[in-house]
Amino acid sequence: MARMEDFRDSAHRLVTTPNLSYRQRLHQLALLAEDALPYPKLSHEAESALESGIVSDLAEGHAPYRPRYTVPDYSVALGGGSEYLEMEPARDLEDAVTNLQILYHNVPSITSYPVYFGDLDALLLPYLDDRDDAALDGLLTRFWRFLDRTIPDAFAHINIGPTDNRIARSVLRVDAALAQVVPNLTLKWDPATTGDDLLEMAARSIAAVNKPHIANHPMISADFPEGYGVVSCYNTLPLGGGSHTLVRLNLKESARAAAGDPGRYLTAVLPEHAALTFEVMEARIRFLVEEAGFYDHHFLVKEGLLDRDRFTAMFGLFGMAEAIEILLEGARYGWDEAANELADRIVETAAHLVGDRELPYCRQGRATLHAQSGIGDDIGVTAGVRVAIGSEPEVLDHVAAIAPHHRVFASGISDIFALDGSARSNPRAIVDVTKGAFAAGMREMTFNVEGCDLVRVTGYMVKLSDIEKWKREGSRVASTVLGAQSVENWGLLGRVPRVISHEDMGRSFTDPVESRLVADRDSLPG
Amino acid sequence: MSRVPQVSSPTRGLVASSLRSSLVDGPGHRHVLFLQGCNFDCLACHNPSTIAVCDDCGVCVAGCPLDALSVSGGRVVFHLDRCDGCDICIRVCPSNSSPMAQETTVEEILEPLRADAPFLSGITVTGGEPTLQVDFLVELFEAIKSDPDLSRLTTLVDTNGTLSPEGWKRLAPVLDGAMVDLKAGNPGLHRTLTGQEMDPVLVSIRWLHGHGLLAEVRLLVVEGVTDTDEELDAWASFVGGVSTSIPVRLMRFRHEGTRPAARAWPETSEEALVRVRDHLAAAGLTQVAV
Repeated sequence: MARMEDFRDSAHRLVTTPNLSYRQRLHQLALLAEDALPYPKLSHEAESALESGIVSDLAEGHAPYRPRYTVPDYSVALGGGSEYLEMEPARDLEDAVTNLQILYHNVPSITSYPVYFGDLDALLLPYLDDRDDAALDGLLTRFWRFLDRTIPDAFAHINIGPTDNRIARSVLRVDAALAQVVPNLTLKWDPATTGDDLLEMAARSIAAVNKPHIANHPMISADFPEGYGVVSCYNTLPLGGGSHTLVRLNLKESARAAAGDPGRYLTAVLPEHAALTFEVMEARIRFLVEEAGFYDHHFLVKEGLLDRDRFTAMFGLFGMAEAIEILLEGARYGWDEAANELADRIVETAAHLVGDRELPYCRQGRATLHAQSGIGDDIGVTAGVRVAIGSEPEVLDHVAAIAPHHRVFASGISDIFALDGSARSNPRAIVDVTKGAFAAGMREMTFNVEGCDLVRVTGYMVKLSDIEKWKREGSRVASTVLGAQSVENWGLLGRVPRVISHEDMGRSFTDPVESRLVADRDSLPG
Repeated sequence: MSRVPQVSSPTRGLVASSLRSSLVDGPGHRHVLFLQGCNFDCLACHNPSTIAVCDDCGVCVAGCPLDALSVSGGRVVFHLDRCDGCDICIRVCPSNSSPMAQETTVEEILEPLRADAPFLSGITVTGGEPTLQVDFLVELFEAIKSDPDLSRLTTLVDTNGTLSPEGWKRLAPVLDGAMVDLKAGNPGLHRTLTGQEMDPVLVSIRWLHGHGLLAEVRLLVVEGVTDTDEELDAWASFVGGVSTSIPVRLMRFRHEGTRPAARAWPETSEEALVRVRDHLAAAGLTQVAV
C-alpha cells in the first residue's frame, strides 16, 4: 500500500506545483499513471542494467502507447486531404498553413507535441503564389507565433533546404527576427543545390539566434533515400516514419566492467551490454506494436502519413569521453591518438552489433546508431561521443577527432561548436567552418555564438532570460524547465563561451520548485 | 635594437607564430601568420614582442627555465621541442623581443595549410609588419596562388602601410587585399603614437585604393587620444578624400598584450565605438563597421 501512497503523494505534488501550467500538470499526471503499470517483461539481467544505469530508457515510460518520434509525411494530407480530420486538400497557401496547424494538433510523440513540423519549404512551395516577400513574411510571422504559443516545446523542428527558394529565405528572415524558442530549425545543405548565398544567410541567423542547425544532406540522404527529417536533438529519422523508441547505453558505466582492459571491453563487455540494450528496445517495440496497437489504429498510419515499416529504433551511445579514461588510464579523448583510436574501435564495434541484431517491426529489420546528446541530470558523463567539456581541442583538431565517427551514426550525432561573439560580424567564418566540417565527413553542424540570448542546450533551444523568469514564475514552454536543469547541472551560465555548448559534470541538481518531477519523467526526447 | 628581419633567402621568412583559426583577421575563417619585426614602435601595440628582431645578445638563454634556448656560432638558437610557451625569454629581453621567432620556409607554411584549406577563406599575414619581408611575401603568395589545393584562398596583409608603391607593385599580382592601419588623423599625433611619419601610410592608402587592393582602413580607437573631434575630422577628411566608400573598421584598444605604459589609457568602451562610428558617418564615410 506504500506504493499507492507514493503515487498519491506524487500526484498531489503535481497538481499543486505552482510553476506547472495546466497542460504540464495534465501531461505529468498521464506519465505518472503510465508508470503505475508494470514494465514490459525483461530478463533479470536487463532489469539490473536499467536499474544500475548501464542502460537507460530515458524515462520513456512503462507502457509505450505512442512512438517516441514521429516524422509524418504532411504532403500526403496537404495534397489529398484527410478523411479522419474531415479536411479538404489545400488549394492555396492559407489552406496549406491552416491544414498544417490542424495536423500538428493531432501528431503524437514522446513530448506529447510533434517533434517534426515538416520540410516547410517543400510543403508550401506548390502553393506559393506571386505575393511579395513582405506578404510572405507576414504569413510566416503569424504561423511562427502560432507554433511558439501553442506547441511550446523546443524539440519541435522545421526543416528547410537543400534548395535555395523563397520560402526558405522567408523562414530564415522571420525566425531570426522573432528569436523564438519554437520552432527549432534545421537547414539541409547540399553543395549542388544550396549555394553559398543561402548558407551565408543561415550563418547570419546563427550569429543572431544560434539557429539553424545544419545537416549534411548528401550524407544523410545516402542513409535514408526515402527522405528524412531532422527532429528533436539532432535525430535524423526516415520520412513517413520515425523511431519507435530510443534506448541508450551508458559507455561510462559499461566500461567500468573492464577498467584498464580495452580488449576485453570490445570483445566481451560491450557486446554483452549491447545485447541488454537490444532486449529493452525489443520489449518496448513489441509492447507498442503488439499490445498498444498504435500502428493498427492511428489515422496518420491509416491515411499514409506514417508507415510502420518506415520506423526505426534508435540505439543510443553516450559517455564515450569517460569510458576512454576508464579503459585507457591517462588517455585524453580528443587529444591522444591512442584515445581517439580506441573511440573509433568502440564506435565501429557498436555499429557492427547494431548491424547484426535483428529487431522486430523496424525499417530494414535493424536499429540505427545514435550519439545521444544528453539529458539535464546526466552528471559526470559527457553526451554522445563528444569530447568532454573544457577539454575540447581547438576547432580544427576537434573536427579531425570526431568527424570519423559521424559516418556510422545514421540516426544522428551532435557536436556543438562554440564561437566567440566576433563571429557576429564575420558570418562568412561560419560558412567556412561548416563547409570544411562537411568535407571532413561531419553529418551535422551546430554552433553556439557567444552573446545570444537564445542558446542551444543539447539540441533544443532555451532563452537564458526565460530561465531566470522560470525560477520565479514558471514557464509556458515545457523545455525551458529542462534547459534550466541543464544550466544548473552543467554550469552553462557564466562559463567561457566554448563551454556553453557542451554537457559536463556539474554540481548536483538543486531545484527551487521541485521541477525534478518534470525533468525526470518528461525527459529530453534525446 | 634591430627592427628589420634578416633571413638567408627570400623563400624563408622570420615567423613569430601562426594561428590555424581566426575570425577577426579579415573576411571568413582565416589562417594567420605573424611575422617578426616592425618599423613602427606603437605605444598601443597588442603584440609588442613582434616589434624588435633578436640581435643575438644572449641574455634570454640564461633566463629560460627549460633550456629551450642556446647559443651556437654567435646566434641564439631556439629549441621548440623543449619550450612550454612561458614567455619568460620575452620578459627578460632588453629589446622586449622574442627569440622564438623561426626562420621558416614557404613549404613549411604550405604543408599544414593544405590540410586546413577546406575550412578557410584565406590567409592573413600580419605581425610585426609583414611588408618588411616583402620578398618572402611574394614567394609565399605566389606559391599559394599556383597550388591547386590552395589557389582559391584569398591572400591578405594587415599592414602599417609603410611599404613603398614599388613594393606594393611587386606584391599586387598575388595579393587580394591589404588592411591598412591609419593610426591618427594628424601627423603630430601619428608621430607620437608610432614614432614614424604619416605620409608613407597615406601614399599606400591612395595607391592600394587606386589598384583595387584596399580591403579596409582601420582606426584604433583610444579614448581621449585618437577619438577627439579634431583627430576624427582630419582622419575622415583624408579617407573620405580618397573615397567615402572605403570600408572602415574601428578597432577596440584592449590592455591584454600591451606594455605597461599603454595601460594608462582606458580600454575602449562600446559607447566610444558607437560615437566614433557616428562621427565618421556624419563626416561622410559610408562604410564604417565596428
